[in-house]
Amino acid sequence: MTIQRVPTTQAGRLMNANLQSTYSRLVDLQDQMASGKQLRRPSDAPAKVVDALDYRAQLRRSEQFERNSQDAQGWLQTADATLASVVSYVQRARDLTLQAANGSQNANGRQAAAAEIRSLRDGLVQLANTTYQGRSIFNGTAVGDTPAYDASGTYTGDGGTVMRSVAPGVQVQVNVTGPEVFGASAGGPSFGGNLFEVLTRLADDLAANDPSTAGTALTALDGALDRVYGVQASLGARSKRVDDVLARSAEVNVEIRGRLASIEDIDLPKTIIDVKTQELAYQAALQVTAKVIQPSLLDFLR
Amino acid sequence: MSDFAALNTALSGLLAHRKASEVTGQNIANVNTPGYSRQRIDLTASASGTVPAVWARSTTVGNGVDVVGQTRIRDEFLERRFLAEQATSSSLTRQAQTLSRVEAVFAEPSDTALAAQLADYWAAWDDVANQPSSEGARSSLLERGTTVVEAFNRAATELGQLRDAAAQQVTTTIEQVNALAARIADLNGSIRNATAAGLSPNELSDQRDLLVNELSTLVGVTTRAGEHGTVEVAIGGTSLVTGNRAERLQVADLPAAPPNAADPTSLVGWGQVQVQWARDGYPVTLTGGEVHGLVQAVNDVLPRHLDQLNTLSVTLRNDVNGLHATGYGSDGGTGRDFFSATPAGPPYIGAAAGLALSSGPDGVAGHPEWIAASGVATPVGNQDVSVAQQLAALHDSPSGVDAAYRAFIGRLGVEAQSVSRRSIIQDAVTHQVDTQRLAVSGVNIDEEMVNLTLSQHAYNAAARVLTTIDSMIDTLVNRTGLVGR
Repeated sequence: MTIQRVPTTQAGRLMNANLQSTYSRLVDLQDQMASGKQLRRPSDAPAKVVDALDYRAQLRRSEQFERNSQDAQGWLQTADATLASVVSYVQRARDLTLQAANGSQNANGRQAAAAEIRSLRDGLVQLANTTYQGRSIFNGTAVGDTPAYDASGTYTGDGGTVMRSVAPGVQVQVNVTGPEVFGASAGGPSFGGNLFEVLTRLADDLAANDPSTAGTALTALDGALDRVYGVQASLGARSKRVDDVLARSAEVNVEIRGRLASIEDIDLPKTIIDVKTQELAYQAALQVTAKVIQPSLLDFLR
Repeated sequence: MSDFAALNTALSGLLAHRKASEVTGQNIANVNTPGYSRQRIDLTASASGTVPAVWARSTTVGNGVDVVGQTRIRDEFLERRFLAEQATSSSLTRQAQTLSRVEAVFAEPSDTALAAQLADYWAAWDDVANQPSSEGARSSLLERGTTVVEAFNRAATELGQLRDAAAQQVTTTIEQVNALAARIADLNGSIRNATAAGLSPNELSDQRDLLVNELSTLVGVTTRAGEHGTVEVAIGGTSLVTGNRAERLQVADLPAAPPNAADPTSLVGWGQVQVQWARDGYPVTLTGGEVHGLVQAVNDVLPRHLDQLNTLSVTLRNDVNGLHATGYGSDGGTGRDFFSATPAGPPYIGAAAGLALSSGPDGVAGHPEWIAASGVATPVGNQDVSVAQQLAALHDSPSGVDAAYRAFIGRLGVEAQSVSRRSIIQDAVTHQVDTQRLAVSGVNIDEEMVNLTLSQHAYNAAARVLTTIDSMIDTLVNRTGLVGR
């Protein structure tokens, strides 16, 4: 072992360098504590930063999917409520038709029935033009403020589908078009046309005092009811699907947030202990530095 | 033997040891002086005549002690190693600093930086898809688009400012280098004159070596001993200072590469800087020092990151415009661009700085109704949103901007961390070499005290010898031959 010569200023320089490095580590730990983040720059942990950005993107996307889902639910629930009213109207029309069919009415009764059926049909047209957020829900993707049906029961929308993205790669159709609910048009009042045409034809027949077509009308109305029930079922299924996706994505979000926190945030107990340890080390270094002025030979020479 | 010669011998002892204690005093006075190398006098016994002769033979013992020189104690090998390590250290420090500043430009991970703003932008497309006829949703989309555009512009501008600052600092540092080289040359001249005249140039040499150290932190140098105590300083093998002559360096701006319209990622028009010898314009081979780190920053690190930023902005522009042009606005119009990338004015900094919402006769800026959300042409103003939903789904695209940006940040983090670690290691190595070289040339007070004590005793002894010889001569002169008196 060779004896290394140590210049007098060496101790001071070494002390200084060590103090600086201890202090800078202390400041770094205090910065972590104050910000609550251990990942402040990409160079702190490059691989983790890419993961962190990935998780943040997923969370933001998930937020947007939630908004889309809530919008989808709005559509589906509005349609469902509307269809419930449609069912009650059609059942009333059916009752009137039954009365006309069993031949116990006179001409005045038939006139009254015709008038009520016409007003039921107008009410149904209004229901068909229900809007959600200013947009007619049964007109497909036609221009915004176009109603689905005009006053005479002619469909003025188009056949477009309205989809909502509720999860990555998952889209749910949230609309039904008018013809899907109310039937295809036959071009004029007829029992083979859509619901409004059926009612118009029925009302015209009753007003002309001809109850013979009531039976056919009944069949047509039953068919219309079945169609509406079918649509309601399908809307219910879609709504449940959206609910399921929402619930699952809420769980996934909790997990992603947990992972993000474990990457970005400090482990508070560990960091507190580290800070305390470092403070202790710094104090010890300071105390030793104060004693750097050692006795030299001068003190002992005469 | 001559008594008077013996007096001379004693005198030489007195003088030599007084000189030795002066040198010790000099060392102690300079114990904390930076760059001071401890000095020591060289003593040799002075010989009497050693040339054999037949009649003129001398039988004297010796003629005392000669001070033949006053040397600085330094280890030249360690000094040169220190120069090299210090140059590498300051270059790495500067590079680490540059990368740290580039990280600060992007400030990820964050809730407000570019990644989050891009995510908000894609979400705005989804909002338009949910309510295609809402003026509010469309205007909000334009706002978010503007935010993304401004983020790209700002990042490009800040990188440009970093580049300009670094280039300016190269010029300033080269001016400092020239000034230092001139002073070193002056000192070399003075040292040569002093050495030739037989004077001791140790203090001047220490000053000069301190300047050489400073020069090495600025631009890595190597040294070689010249004649008469001068030092020859070279950069990259070519001589900067020889004797009392110093070369000058200059900084040249190389013209920018012309933009290549066919490859939008080549739109970096920043020029490079080159450090040259002023005499002939030949480029200097830099191997270390701050200038090396700065030139790396200006010529490589910053343009590379700007290039990647430009590529990202071009990817964004092409992805969005490609889909947007196939869609239809609420007025039925199609084929419109969402983003435009008009070149900014010279210096041409590229696509990121010039990214903007499309404006002009077919631009969506200020025309929210022209945003092409719909995928079907008729009827005009329909509420199909297939194009808007495709655009919103670009967020998840593995080849889209978001994925590329994350990869970019990852690479930036790796590079910054790697350079930072190398810098820390290099600092430790430099510190160790510094400690070793100071172990040789630093002053130790205990050692000087011992030397002082020795010199003091030697001086006392020599004075005693003088007294003894004096009394012997006195006996000879005053008491010999006084018989009977």
